[in-house]
Amino acid sequence: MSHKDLVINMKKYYAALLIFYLSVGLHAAVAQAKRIITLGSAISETVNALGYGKYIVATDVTSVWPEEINRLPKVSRNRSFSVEAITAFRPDLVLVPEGDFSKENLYQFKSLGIRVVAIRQEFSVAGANKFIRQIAAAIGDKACGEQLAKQTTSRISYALSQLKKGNKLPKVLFIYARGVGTMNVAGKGSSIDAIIKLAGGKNAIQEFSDFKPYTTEALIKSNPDIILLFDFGLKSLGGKESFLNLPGVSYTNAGKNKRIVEMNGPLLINFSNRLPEAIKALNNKIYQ
Amino acid sequence: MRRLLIYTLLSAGLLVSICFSLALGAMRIPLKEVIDTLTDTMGFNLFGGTDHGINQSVIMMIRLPRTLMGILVGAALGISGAAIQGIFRNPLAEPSLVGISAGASLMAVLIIAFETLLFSSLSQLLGYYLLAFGAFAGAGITAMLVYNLSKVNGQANVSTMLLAGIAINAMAGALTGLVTYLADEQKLRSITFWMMGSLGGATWQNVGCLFPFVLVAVIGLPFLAKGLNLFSIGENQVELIGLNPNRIKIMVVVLATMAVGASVSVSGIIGFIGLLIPHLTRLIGGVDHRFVLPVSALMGAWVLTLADLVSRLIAQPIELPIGVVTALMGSPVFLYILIKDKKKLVN
Repeated sequence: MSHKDLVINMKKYYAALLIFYLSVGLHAAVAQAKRIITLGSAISETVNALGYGKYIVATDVTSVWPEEINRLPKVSRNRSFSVEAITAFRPDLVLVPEGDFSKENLYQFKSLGIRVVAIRQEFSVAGANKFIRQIAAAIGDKACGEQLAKQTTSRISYALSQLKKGNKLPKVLFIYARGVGTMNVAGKGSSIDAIIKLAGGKNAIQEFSDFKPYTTEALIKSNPDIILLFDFGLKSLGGKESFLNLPGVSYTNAGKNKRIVEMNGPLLINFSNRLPEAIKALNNKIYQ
Repeated sequence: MRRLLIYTLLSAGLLVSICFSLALGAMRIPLKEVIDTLTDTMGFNLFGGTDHGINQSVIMMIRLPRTLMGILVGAALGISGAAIQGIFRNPLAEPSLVGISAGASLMAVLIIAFETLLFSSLSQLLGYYLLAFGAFAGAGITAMLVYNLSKVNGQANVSTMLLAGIAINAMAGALTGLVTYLADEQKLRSITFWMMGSLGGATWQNVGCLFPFVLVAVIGLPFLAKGLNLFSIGENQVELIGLNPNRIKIMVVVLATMAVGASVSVSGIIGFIGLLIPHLTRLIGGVDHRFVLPVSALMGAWVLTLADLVSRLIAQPIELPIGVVTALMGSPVFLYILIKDKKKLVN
């Protein structure tokens, strides 16, 4: 080996060393979260899909998928939680849907030195992409988020290209039910409105936004072709047969043709990594 | 002698529940560390006062403000309940029963829902105090309304007052429902918080905001005790010794609603304390307002601290709404008093 070769080798060695140190340094700058609390089903599912499920230490009652996550303690119930109970898990990152923590709660976590990242969810294909990237950035692994976001986008494009279509967009009415007394229908701008559109249907309610209480007359007036419920919602009303017997249902196209459709709740409103599956499943049920 | 004993026992009870409230919670923090943190903050250095990190922060930033808020809200509800029962000369007059809490929370809900639309200039002026002032105004307006509605020939008529209270509760409830219907999801969550009641949002900031309002009521109301004693015999008795009954009434309503309004604005509606505490106080120590008022404040603080402790510990790691706990603790005791004093109440 000549002297020149040795110098070149040395240079290569130092360059490699430099790159190694730089990458270590960069890694240290965005400390990767090791004890994560995920509140909200979509956030829990996304963290799992990013491969960080093993770092989750607690979740909320809505986080039921994937199956293993049910082993973890549920630290929040319908947005009622205690700051101290969350702190007791010594999390280094709390991921929460934007708006779920009050100003006071955010202030409390800040004074405890616990990092809380509020995740904004928009109900669209681009929104799913952003949702994944936000969570990956909060965890400290942007590259992984990039990968999952790209993969999800291409899977969404594929799902959309494979959609079954009819001559006319069927009108879908979504009813959120927790027993006969508490029934709400989904209006414009809601998560349900967005998924119905993506899956090749039309929301039967165009008069108002968000969720509003259900009335028999409004049901008859909107005359949906299909009535969509969460699986637990249909169960709370006593199943498909007793739903068909509710006042007014038999006057709608959906009632006449017995087109009552149920979907898994967390899947339907995931709007993240599982959006392609949700589109496909709902589309299949609308055009079955 | 008996009263001295009651004061001593209640103070001791309050002190013990404060200690438990600081020492117990979802975080397991050794007692030694709790004492160490507290003494360290006060400037003593018992065990060397080393930095305990997150445990220390939990005690100083979560448990201590929360405990203080429980004490302040409990004292406010207890003493206001006693004073309002005094001027109405009725044991059922309680801030939530006669509509004062409903008025306060309606105002709070309106401010939350329309803050950006209608109250932006007020919000800049009052800042953090806007909600407290709004709740106070709502409480004051309803109290005056109920009182004036219930007056027959210059005397507050008991059944009219209760019915007026029910009507105002219904109206405030309906208006709150209407606002809820119109509000978006995020505002809905803040509104639900008011309806349920909770001490979970306690920070040094809102404890500091609550403190002056409660302090004024707790110091001011006992000065009116003599007048309230005469009230229980008859309004003309007050005039006979040269006091102005209307001035006493207005003073009581202003002080009580100030404390209740400010409490509602930071902790939402917490029922039963204002009704139950004065009853318990009279049960153990008689009807003299010079005794009933301060002891109601003391006992209110104690019971609410205790109720908060139960709400935090019973369903860990999830918290029960404190309103559920106070109602569960309060209603059986109240029923017992009712059955026991049935004859007295009828006459």
